[in-house]
Amino acid sequence: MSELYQTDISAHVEWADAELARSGCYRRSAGARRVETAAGASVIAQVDNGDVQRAAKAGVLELSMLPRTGYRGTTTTDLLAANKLPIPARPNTAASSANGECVLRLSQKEYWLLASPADLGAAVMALPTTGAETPDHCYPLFCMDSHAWLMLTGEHLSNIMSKLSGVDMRESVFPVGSIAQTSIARINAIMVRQQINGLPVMSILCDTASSDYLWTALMDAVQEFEGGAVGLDVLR
Amino acid sequence: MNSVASTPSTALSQRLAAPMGLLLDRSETVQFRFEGQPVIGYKGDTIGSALLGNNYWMWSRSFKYHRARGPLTMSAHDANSLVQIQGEPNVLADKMAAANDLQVTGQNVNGTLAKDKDAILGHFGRFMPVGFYYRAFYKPKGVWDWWEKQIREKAGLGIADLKFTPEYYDKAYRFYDVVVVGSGPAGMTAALTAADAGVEVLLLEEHSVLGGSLTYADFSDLDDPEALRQQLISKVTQHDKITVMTDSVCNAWFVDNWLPVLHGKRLYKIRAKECIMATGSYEQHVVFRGNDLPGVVMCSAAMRMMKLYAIKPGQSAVVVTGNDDGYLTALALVAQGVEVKALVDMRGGVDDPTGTDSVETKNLIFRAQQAGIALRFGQTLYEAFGKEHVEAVEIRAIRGRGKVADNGDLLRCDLVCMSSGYMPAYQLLCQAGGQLSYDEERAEFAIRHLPEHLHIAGSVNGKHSIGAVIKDAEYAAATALALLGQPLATAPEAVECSRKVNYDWPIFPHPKGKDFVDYDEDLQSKDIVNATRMGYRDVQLVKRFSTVGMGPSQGRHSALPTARLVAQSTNRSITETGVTTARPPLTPEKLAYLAGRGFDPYRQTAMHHRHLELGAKMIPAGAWARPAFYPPQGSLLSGSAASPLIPRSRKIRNTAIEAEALHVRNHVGLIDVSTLGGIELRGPDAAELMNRIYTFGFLKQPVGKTRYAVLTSDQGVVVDDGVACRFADDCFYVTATTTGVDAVYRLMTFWNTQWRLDVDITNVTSAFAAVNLAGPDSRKVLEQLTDLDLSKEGFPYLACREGEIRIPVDGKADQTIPARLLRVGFVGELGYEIHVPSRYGEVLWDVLMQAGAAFDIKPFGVETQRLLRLEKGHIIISQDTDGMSHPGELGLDWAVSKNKPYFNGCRAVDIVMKRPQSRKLVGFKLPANLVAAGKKPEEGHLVLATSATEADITGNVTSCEYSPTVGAIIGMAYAGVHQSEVGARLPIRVNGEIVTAEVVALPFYDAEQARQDM
Repeated sequence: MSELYQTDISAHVEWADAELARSGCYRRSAGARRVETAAGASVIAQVDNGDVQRAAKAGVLELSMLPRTGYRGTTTTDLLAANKLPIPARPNTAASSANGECVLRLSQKEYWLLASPADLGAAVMALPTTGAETPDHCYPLFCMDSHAWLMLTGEHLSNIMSKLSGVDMRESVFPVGSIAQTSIARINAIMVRQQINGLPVMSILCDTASSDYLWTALMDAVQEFEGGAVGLDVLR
Repeated sequence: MNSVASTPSTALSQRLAAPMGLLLDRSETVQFRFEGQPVIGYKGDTIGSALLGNNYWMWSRSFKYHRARGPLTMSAHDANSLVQIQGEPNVLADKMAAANDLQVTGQNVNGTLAKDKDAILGHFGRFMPVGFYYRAFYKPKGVWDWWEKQIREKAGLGIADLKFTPEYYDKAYRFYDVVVVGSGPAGMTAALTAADAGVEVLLLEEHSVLGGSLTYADFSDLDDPEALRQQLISKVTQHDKITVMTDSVCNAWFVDNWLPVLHGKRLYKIRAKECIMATGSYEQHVVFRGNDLPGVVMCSAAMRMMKLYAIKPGQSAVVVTGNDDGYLTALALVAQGVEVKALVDMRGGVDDPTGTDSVETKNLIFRAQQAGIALRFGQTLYEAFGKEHVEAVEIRAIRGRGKVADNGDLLRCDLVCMSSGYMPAYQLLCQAGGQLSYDEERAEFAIRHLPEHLHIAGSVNGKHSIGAVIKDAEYAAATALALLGQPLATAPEAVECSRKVNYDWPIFPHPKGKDFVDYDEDLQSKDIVNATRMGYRDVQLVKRFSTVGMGPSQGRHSALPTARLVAQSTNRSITETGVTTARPPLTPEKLAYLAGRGFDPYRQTAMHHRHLELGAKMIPAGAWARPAFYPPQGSLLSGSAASPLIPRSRKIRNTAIEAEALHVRNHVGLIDVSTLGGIELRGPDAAELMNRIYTFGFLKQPVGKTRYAVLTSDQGVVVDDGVACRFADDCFYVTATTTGVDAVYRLMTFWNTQWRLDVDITNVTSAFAAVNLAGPDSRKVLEQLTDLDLSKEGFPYLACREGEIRIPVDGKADQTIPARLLRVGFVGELGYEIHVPSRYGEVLWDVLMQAGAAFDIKPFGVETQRLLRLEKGHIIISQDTDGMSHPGELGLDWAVSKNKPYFNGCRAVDIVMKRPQSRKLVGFKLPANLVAAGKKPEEGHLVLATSATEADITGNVTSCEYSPTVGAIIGMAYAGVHQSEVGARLPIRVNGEIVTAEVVALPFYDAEQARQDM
């Protein structure tokens, strides 16, 4: 085995044998129970009985197999409106749908949608995925594969983020619905502050190929807050 | 006081009674060892205060003369207190908390602290004048080799433990409206004023308790400093807008109020909209012979000993002062039972005691007289006597600037307290661009020209009376609030303070020297003067020549006397002379703060772990790791053993890639190419954008076909290449090099911001995982997994398709994954690049390896791919190109369209290709036996004009390998145009010898393209 980028995780994870779709850091995911998402892949539902306590302090979730999609172009708002999805008022803000999807407005013409943990992404999966299905000048994006979806939870969000990013993400200046497209742990990422199931959370969308790296950085950052990995159930 | 240590049993009982000992918790003791002897102290003690409590006054030896050194400031502001703790050198004894079981020793000793063999160096001072090391040790020729060993033996202070176990240090950001540095009366007042207006305030304090000078000093205009401290602390700690960080050192100021703060094992990177520096000022010493003896301390140090640590600093003291604070110290000493034998006031004379009309001063004189203290005006200490502790002083009358009477009085004492004035803590402010100007009247530096959003308050701003300090802090906070857009309803006015605290010339040179200006570097007053006499007239040059101010205390105590001495010696004003540049860090900073928990991003393809499982030798490619080759099981080398300089390592590599290459040529191989860049262009103008970016023509590229895409820079240099796939009239998927894709994407979006073409550009590099299935059996492998027509006619060379890959599932119907397939021939065999959404990448690898098992499929690595493409004469951007390579040099004229008006870099390409060509990339061949002879050219080896070793260089080798397919060494190199014809001889300098290669036509293999066009 090479010493380059060697990790201490096992190369073979038995449960993954049955999965076609695998996240960039699925080997890091270990838990008592998994749940299948609408994308036909699985995410950790529960790590152990301490999930709720950890999530309240400093939880880390890996949600890459929870559906998400995105669209860019001048007619994207038409598509969103047709699907009764909220349209955030300005770039770098997010809004939640009644069903719990989170609509991210990343620029004047670019919108991403993050699945609701409640329906495991069923509503997002029902949206168009190819250019043939979208209006002219509305181009589906590849964010399900280009970006991993990690999440931080709990009361120490601001302090954790302050260890990872040079952007001020205290809730007073970065309230729920705020988006930062910036650097975290020296990689580019999109960060969204949300409130899910009463829990303060920060969704982090980063380059898929960097997700294993970022997972280790997040896990390192939450240690001092008695945090750790938690499952999707804390959001439902 | 003598140098005999107290026994642990008596050490605690010698402490002063409360309220002395503010920092002590007398309910708990700590015990450790110093120089092997037991030391006992209280919780709250520093190592230094515990040592003093046990009567250890000599802590270490000085840098140059190995003189005995002990406490000077008791505030971690000097280097005299550096000690060694186990494996950690240079620990500040007056800062580091005492703890059980520490093993503390002095440092910079040869032998033991008490019996330092190098202490004799002090007697040879005249042979070591300032800057002697610049003028010695190099003659006669070769002598340096001997001296270097001796000097290295003596160099350095403590002993680093090179086998230490790294500890966890990390970093974090913080953001505040106002950051106040320093929690003295000014700092706390400024913080409260700002916070009361509703802004978020951070209050930083380097010590463990708030209060600054209120914790240890007495004031002539404040009866109860502790009461004021408690009052301020109560308000500060209860204020919900104030965050307090104690034990936190603001170690630098960077632009826009970016403040690195050291706290515990974390480096905080703090951003402040407004910053108020209430950093106080450093008490200054008096320059006289023997002013470094243990027992000679700053007045503030004696006050700290008593008030913070309940240490009685001596039995009989002499105080020398140039201000009122010496009186306050003397009175405090008397109050704690110390006999003050004399208070030597450098000011005034017999008839004009202090040269001041100050009521406060006169009141202090009265109080001192009432306390029975003998006052001596217009006098100074001329020399302190003692070996390892001060035992007596000689006092002489001052006869002029730096001049004293011929005779004086001798007084026995075991403590000398000195205060010649104060130097503002200017370092952070000068880092911010502040300038020092010297006020001759007050004999004091003031700081001017601070940047906007940086403010100062308190004694750092020349305010010394408590009333002025408080008002100055309110003013600074109000100014900051106004800049924050929250002006106070009633803005305070700027305050003036007329109190003079500095004596204008506290420097009394002694013919025998040892009158130290800089304790860190053992620099005496004559050293500074001599430096100027040797031509180093600028204070910056004096610093570099003498090293003054370059020690751990960074000029806190040496800057002011140095400025005075240099000014006098060069007949300039002190303002003209100035002080040396203050640079970060302010205090010695452990490298752990910088090295601790850095971020070192890496990227992994979806198949990364498959390569590790197969035992691949991984190599970096940007932030990615890629498999170079797959050595036989058990032969993977790592670390230094894997160096290509080691024959065994080379053999393993060469054997592996030759085997992999032959396998691809004869059977089928699989390589992970997920790191290739990918950009998706969609929209009516997608083809137009391609046409404007790349050199080739793309408007008429048929759907379902690929086309080679070359990108040139504005200088006409080839900077990237890839394959453009047209999946629809309005959809292109173009690959780019692994490390170049981000720049290509940037270029496209940059230009389209101006062109406003109707096209969407998306970087999809990470969205797709990709492999290249290559070799004559590749079709047989792939046809098991797809319904696409893979026949030569149905899916010809250079075609591209979108389809599905079937994934067999045990006991169930096959599942499918979407895929893009490209028939490309980079390695020169029948092959398919298969791109799938990244979440399916690992499954794709697995299913191909399973489907290929019947055909003995084997993975191959990047090094093998490089050999295979070399056999085909395909270039790799940045390996076979450099910053000058234009399409003509690379033989890529065919990839440059002449029929379109524009592409990126077209004008420069036209210009450079019209110039007479001086070099060309050519293929060359050499006999295989040169490998064994160690004469195989390597990348970078030079191509010469002729076989003469001194001949002109015409180019260099860019790629070279032994090819088992060709049976020879093959390579590509830049050669002079006159050498580029097929058959020409190409002299290449290999490790100093010339080997002559033959220029051959490219490709080396399958010139008819039959293999890839199967």
